[in-house]
Amino acid sequence: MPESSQPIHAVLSLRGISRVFLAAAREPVWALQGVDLDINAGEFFAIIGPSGCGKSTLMDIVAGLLAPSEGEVIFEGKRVSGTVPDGVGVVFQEDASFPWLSVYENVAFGLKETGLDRAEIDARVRYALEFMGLADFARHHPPQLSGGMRQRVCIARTLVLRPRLILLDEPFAALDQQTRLLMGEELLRLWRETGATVVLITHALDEAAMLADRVGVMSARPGRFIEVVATGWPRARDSTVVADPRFGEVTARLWSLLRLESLRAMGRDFNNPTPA
Amino acid sequence: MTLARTRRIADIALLSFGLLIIWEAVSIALGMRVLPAPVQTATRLVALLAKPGFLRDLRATGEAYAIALGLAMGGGVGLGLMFGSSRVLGETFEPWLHVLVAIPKVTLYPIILLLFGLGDAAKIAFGVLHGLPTVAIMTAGGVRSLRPIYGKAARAMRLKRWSYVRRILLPAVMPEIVAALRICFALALLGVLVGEMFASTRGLGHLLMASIGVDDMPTVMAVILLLFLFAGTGSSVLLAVVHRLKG
Repeated sequence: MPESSQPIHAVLSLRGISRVFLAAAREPVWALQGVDLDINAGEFFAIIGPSGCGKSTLMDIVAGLLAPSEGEVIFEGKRVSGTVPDGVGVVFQEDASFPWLSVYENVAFGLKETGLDRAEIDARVRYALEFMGLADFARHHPPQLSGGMRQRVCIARTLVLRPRLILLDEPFAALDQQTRLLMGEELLRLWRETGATVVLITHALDEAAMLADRVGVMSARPGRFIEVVATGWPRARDSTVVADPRFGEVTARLWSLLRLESLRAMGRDFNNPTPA
Repeated sequence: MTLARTRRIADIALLSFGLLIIWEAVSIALGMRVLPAPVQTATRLVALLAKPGFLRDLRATGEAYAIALGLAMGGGVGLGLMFGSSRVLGETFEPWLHVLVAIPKVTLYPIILLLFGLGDAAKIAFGVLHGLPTVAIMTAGGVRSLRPIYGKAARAMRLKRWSYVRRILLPAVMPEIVAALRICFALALLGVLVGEMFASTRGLGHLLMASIGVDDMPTVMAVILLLFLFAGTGSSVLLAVVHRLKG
């Protein structure tokens, strides 16, 4: 493919990441064990895995919201520890918009912390509102908006901070299928326009196959990467890639990897399937 | 004016009218000497409002009440934010607040008098004692029911601690704080008035006790009516604000 984004250099590296959760009077739970990964600058990377494999834990660790029990995260050559590094933006699965603020104030929220002057803040907010199709809703409050619109507000709020790495933890999980496809296209547009590196956690195979340059497939708990699948899409792409025969191949490959892991996650022994 | 609004105003008018009828009826049944009628009471209130002595009492109560309300709210919200944010602090101190809410605070008044002496400080302290524990408990409850995602979002946007308190914690808990203000509004008034009734030489509470002593029932009723109107209006306005905030 002429325009396919090839790795140039790693902007984000995970080295031997493990995370154990200790609870009194219970066996320690290993959510992640030995996660290694390199993500290249400007890449769109998706992470899929069976439910409960530690995807969100991994996300929190990469963002600096949670410390790993072992291993380290390196972002732009610096070790991530304790705080979310400058240049990293996070969008959560849960609606994180602030209902007491208007859409405009929500989007401007993080910028007001940066000490930028008002004109610059206003310009960035207006651009982000326009970009995310929220311009007509600037004065609305989140409770007046649909779930998809609220998630857009959260994406816009992250976008205005001009992150170089955008982490998205199943941002579309609560949305219906059509909205998800369209939001996926918007995400691609955002990725192309900003030149940021994007890491998307999702449980939807088709979403991962359609959007990402590479898809990391995680094992059942304790989670680690069992394979990284390259999709080979050009940088200029949209949801119509689902008509490409390669989309079927990628999705099939992802599912063959994920099926066994999902069965394991559900506690089934796939070598000796229980008779129905 | 919408239909619903017109109906609400009609309801309030009807209710007030009904109460006045009952008041008048009871007054006739018991005799004017025991329970002065509405017109008699209102006339006395108007007369009192023109008297400098009464205005001094009103001012004394008003000032003590405003200070008590301010201290109870400020202290209650501050403690509530702390107890709600820290599990250790909450588990250590909140049970004491619940005890304070439960006991009849008048039993503590001798101690308050010993600590603050006769005068304004004691009645202010008594008003604070009535209001603060409930405000702290309600605020702490509001903090604990905060969606954890707000904290995560704050960290993701690299908010400093004080910014988090000011820009996320306080606005998110504001509906609970206003609900607490509404209850504190009534409790602090109770505390200040009771304080004035037992050990004070001025204020509406003192006037009430003095009037009972000389069997001046019109003045007693006039003070009660004034307090009723003040508390009723304040509570209704704050309730409307609570409804508005909770959308």
